[in-house]
Amino acid sequence: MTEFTEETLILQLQDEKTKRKAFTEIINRYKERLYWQIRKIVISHEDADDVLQNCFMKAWRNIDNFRGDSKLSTWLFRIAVNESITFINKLKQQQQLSLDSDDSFLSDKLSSDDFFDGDELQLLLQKAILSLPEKQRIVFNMRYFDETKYEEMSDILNTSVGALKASYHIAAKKVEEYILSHSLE
Amino acid sequence: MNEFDEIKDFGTKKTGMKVPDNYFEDFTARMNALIDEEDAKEEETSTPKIEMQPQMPYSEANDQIEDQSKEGKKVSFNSVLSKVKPFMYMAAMYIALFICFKFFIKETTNQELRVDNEIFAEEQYIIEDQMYASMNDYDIMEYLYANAE
Repeated sequence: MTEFTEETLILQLQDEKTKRKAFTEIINRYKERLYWQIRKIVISHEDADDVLQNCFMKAWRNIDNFRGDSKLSTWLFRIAVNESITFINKLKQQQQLSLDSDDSFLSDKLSSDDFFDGDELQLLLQKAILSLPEKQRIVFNMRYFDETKYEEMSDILNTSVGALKASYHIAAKKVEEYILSHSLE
Repeated sequence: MNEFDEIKDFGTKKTGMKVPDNYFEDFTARMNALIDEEDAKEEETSTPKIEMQPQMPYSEANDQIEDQSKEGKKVSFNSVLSKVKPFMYMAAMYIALFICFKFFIKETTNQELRVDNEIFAEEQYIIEDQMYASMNDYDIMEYLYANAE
């Protein structure tokens, strides 16, 4: 079986004959990680599936422009985050909500989603995360659940490591406060 | 230990989210089918780019177009030419009409001017003849007298 390193994948993507096969390998390699990244932002499975498809489609259309300046995974995660934010903004517009508002409106989707079987504590944690501003929510998800390194997050989100650390610290504090205040009710 | 500490120490840090059975197993095939569909649509809508050189022979141009068309869907030079032909004929017809019209206008104008001048000169003689014919001796004397003053 052929071993695909990132370098060989990029080389194969630049060759018309091997491009398609290399992209299938990319889908296989990153689909699960990208899915969970997207799912934590858009919450419902159906929406995450749509956004994941859009993400790979966008990557396929623009693969000729990828010259390996950044890591392939970084490039794909950046597309996934952007597509997820675009999707959330469309939902907000449909519901006539301000684009600056938090994503609490997704709480209902979470409770009604057939593919959520979390307990009360997990539901409360998700609701607390949804009360965060969008950027803090993404940072918190990446750091808390996936334990993504700040340097990698910095490349994906195009934000300095210092700002990301501060953002995570503030987000964690807010989540803690939310859980404490809501568990007392 | 409060509830947040409990969450922090969750260990697996589960989200409580799950996916349908075989979702990831089937995803690659679904995605590949979508990409194929998209590529097919793109091929249908795209037109071959023809780079004609000024002295490119017909056969070479035809080959170039056929090379650029993909997967058996060939667009020949003849079919491109047959589409362009009516427009070329129409343009040639307009040019010919314009040249004829311009030539006709020029000829007519010259002819009219020439005729006008001849008529004018002829009319002048007739007027003078009539004028002199209608004069009697008295008129001639009067005319000479008036001019002498």
